[in-house]
Amino acid sequence: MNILGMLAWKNLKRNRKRTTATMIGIIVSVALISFIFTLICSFQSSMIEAAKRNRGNYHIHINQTTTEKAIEFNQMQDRIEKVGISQTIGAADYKTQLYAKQGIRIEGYDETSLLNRDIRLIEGRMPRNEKEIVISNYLVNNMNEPIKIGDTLTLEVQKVKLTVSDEGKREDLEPDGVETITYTITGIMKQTAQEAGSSNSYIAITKLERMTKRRPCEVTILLKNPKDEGIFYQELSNSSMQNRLSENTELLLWQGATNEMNEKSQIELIAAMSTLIVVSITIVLIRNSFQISISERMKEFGTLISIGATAKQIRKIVLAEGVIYVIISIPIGLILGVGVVFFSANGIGNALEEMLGNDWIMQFSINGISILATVVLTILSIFISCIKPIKEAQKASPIETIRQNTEIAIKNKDVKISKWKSKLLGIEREIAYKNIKRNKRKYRSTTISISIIMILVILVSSIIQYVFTMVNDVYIPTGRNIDVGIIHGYGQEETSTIFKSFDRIKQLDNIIDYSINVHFEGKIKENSQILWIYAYEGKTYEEYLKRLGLKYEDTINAGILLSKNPSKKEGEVFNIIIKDKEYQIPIIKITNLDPYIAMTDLDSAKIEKLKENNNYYSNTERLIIPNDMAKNIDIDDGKNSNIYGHFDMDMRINSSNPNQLEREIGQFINLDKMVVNNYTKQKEDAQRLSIIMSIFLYGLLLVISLIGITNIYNTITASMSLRKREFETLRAIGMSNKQFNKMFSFESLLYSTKSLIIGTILGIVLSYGIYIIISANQAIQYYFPIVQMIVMMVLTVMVIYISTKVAQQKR
Amino acid sequence: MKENVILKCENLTKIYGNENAKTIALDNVSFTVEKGQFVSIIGASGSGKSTLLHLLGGVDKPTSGSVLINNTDLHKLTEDNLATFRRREIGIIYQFYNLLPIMNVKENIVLPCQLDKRKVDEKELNDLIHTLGLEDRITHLPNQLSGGQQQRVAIGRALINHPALILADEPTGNLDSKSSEEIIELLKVSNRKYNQTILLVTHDEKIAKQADRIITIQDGKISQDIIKNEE
Repeated sequence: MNILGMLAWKNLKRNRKRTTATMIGIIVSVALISFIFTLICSFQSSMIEAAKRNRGNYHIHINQTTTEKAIEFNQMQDRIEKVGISQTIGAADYKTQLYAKQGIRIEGYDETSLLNRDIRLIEGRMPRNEKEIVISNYLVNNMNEPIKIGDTLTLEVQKVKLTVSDEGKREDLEPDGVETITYTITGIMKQTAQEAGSSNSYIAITKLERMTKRRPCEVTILLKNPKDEGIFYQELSNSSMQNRLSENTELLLWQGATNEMNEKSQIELIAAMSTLIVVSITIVLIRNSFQISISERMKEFGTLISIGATAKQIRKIVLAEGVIYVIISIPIGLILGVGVVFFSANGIGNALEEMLGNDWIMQFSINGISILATVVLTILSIFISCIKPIKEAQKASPIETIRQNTEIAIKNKDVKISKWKSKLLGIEREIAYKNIKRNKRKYRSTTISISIIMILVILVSSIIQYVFTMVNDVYIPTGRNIDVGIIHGYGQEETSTIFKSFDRIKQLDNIIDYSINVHFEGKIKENSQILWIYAYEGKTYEEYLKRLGLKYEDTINAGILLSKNPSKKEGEVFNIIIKDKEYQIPIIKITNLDPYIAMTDLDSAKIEKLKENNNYYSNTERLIIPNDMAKNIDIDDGKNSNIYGHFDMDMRINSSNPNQLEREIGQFINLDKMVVNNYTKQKEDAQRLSIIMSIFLYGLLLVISLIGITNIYNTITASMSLRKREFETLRAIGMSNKQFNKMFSFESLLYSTKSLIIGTILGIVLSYGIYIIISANQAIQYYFPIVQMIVMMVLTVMVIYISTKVAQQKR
Repeated sequence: MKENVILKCENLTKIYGNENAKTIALDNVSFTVEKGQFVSIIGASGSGKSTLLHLLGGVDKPTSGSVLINNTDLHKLTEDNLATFRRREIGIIYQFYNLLPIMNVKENIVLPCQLDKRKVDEKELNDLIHTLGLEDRITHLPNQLSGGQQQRVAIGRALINHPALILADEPTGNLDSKSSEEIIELLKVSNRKYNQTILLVTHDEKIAKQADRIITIQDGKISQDIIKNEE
């Protein structure tokens, strides 16, 4: 080591406490930055893997194209990484418990498709030849007889061919012979999107050993560069394939293919902002530490200059200190930051898995760019921090050193104090006050540190409060915790399938009670007026009947007319037309008691409000029938109508184990056509997320505070060190310990008050801004974190006071 | 202790270091000083004179022995009581002045009174400032004063409480000869005018001879103790 490096090293060794404090601050900073980057990297990597599992490992999907085009894609190796090809082999009739799906379509996937499409094996293995198949658990659960891996399935496969134009446009589907094929089941997979979207068939997947020219292909394309996807997609859209293209948006999003603001860029933005805060505080810390070091060594630098050291050499001494900090703190910080993510990946993953679903797994991932970015940011921070201290060191005066004149240049106005203030404060506090006045610049970094921490305390407390408020507002109805309902619109589930699903659900364990509600329309034959029909079954319906003095058996083949001005009398028959069929339903009871009250979880105040507004039942007549009767009606399920409200079906369950029940229901219902709302799980997920967020935010706050505290400690100890002679003089004159304590306490109070006021005002302004943003979409009240602010104020004064006491030199 | 004896040192010893590397800075020193005496303590560098002064001023603790000032054993006092005693009974003047840079001349001088929560007699203060020749400088800060002026302020601060003892540690060490003479003269004036007992540490024989009594320290012991009138 040369002389300059040695001087730097000796100085750091001499001031162990300050060096250690600064080193800890930098290590924590590096750890935090690398933690943020590694966490983002791991999360994005996990999302990419999840996207590949859920949708497949491809960027573009072409629904139908020719085999020639498929081969052409294979040759575009400069742009395309992998091409996956599949063809429909044929379809076979196959009856299952599910009325809607009565066939199996055999799809042949090539090797790439088997690897890259969304096939999630639960058991077994992929097919290796065209006589082996993989089927879905959805098919297995709906089969009339149990089946397992290794069993065979003999199917009469109706092969198809297409008359296909040159561009791959489908013209006509023609039969191409029937073949009896015995397949061996080698694997069971989760239901694919294709099967879920198919209205009448299950999907079985076999190995495509050779392409058949007469059949259209499905092609998946994985590009070499995801960012090329936009252009590539545009090129395909301009061709005849434009209506048969789809993108794997989830994968593209997480691979950063798009420049638009999305979840990925939002997360990156938050990471960038957090990093900026950390870097800013780090620069403040390091710069302060360097400035203190220089101030204490002005004599030394003056001596060096007086014996011939150049400005460049002085700069090198200071920079050498920076290099030493870099060499020691960066590796330790990196190991800490990356290590924390590595060891906590499992914990974070477990917490998020249930919520993000789809077999989401948190994968630890690290890339060179994030490590490099951390190192570069830290080095930059350290060297930016050195700039001003270097200039000050270079200004050290040799003359002042020779004269031993270290008088601080102070102007009278800097330390002037009025007589009444002087009397009020007393001598100890007056000295403290004057010291603060003359050292404003020195305490600036402490002021900034404290202000930033106060701002963060207010912001973090507010955000966490809003998150918990929103979590608490997560709706949980009373008396039930799972709802199973239909998804309206294209792909709506068949009514008969829904009835069967509800019947199967009733047989499951963990059900305390349930209610089934069906709503559809009919027309009164006599006057063609619309009649709303409500079919019920279950606990709340039975309670409703009890209130009417009826039993369920009484209503098996009859209806209850809910009406203010009934158009029929009890005993009369309604002639109702539904989908061109006529149904006669006798009226067993006429009432104005609305089952809506019994079916919902309105509290009494809301019921009274509804009664006041005359809203608790409509003026339209309604016919209430039992669910068993509805099963025998060919209901108009409004599939072809765009107006919702004509048809609805749901089952509301009070379960003793909602999570288990949800899993069991998911085994046999089509989750793309029906929805299961597990309210208990939703609230648990929301609570879990809010806890994770709180831990993360408070953790971030704690670490940033640690850096800030390090800075405060450095400033105070340096200040005490520079004033050592003053303190000795005061002690020699006769200042007692009590008087010293008074002086230090007042100093602590003075500059902590100033910084806390600045931090509080800015924090409140920013927190109000956040409130405005959140309240645009959520019903929340403004939260003023008074408790956290008071705690922060007390802690700040304590930290400053303790630092002062620790730094106080004993005689 | 005789009625007019203001300071009594008995078997004062100060040892630095441990068994393996020990330095005996003061070795069993005993002497007394009467009120109103102007004593100089002279010795070469490293003889122990500054150590003696620090022990007399209560800013350092002896290894053994005692220091009694006005019958009070200094080193048996608690820290707080010692602080109070120092501000009332001892005035220390340093080589490098050690003024508070944030306080002006007047404020530096009255500092011991303010620490003692005692009201300053303005007439006395003005008289002192006049004696020190600082009337035109009372609102000046230390960095606006010359070395000699700063040392006068230090003297004023030491005198303001009329302490039992003034201890001056090389008060002219950082001054030119003219300023040095002025300072010594001031000390002599305060000795005569206020009957102030003064102990002055110096390595300069010429300055030492200006005192009424010269105690010579050598290797931590008193080698000579000469009272001028007795010579």
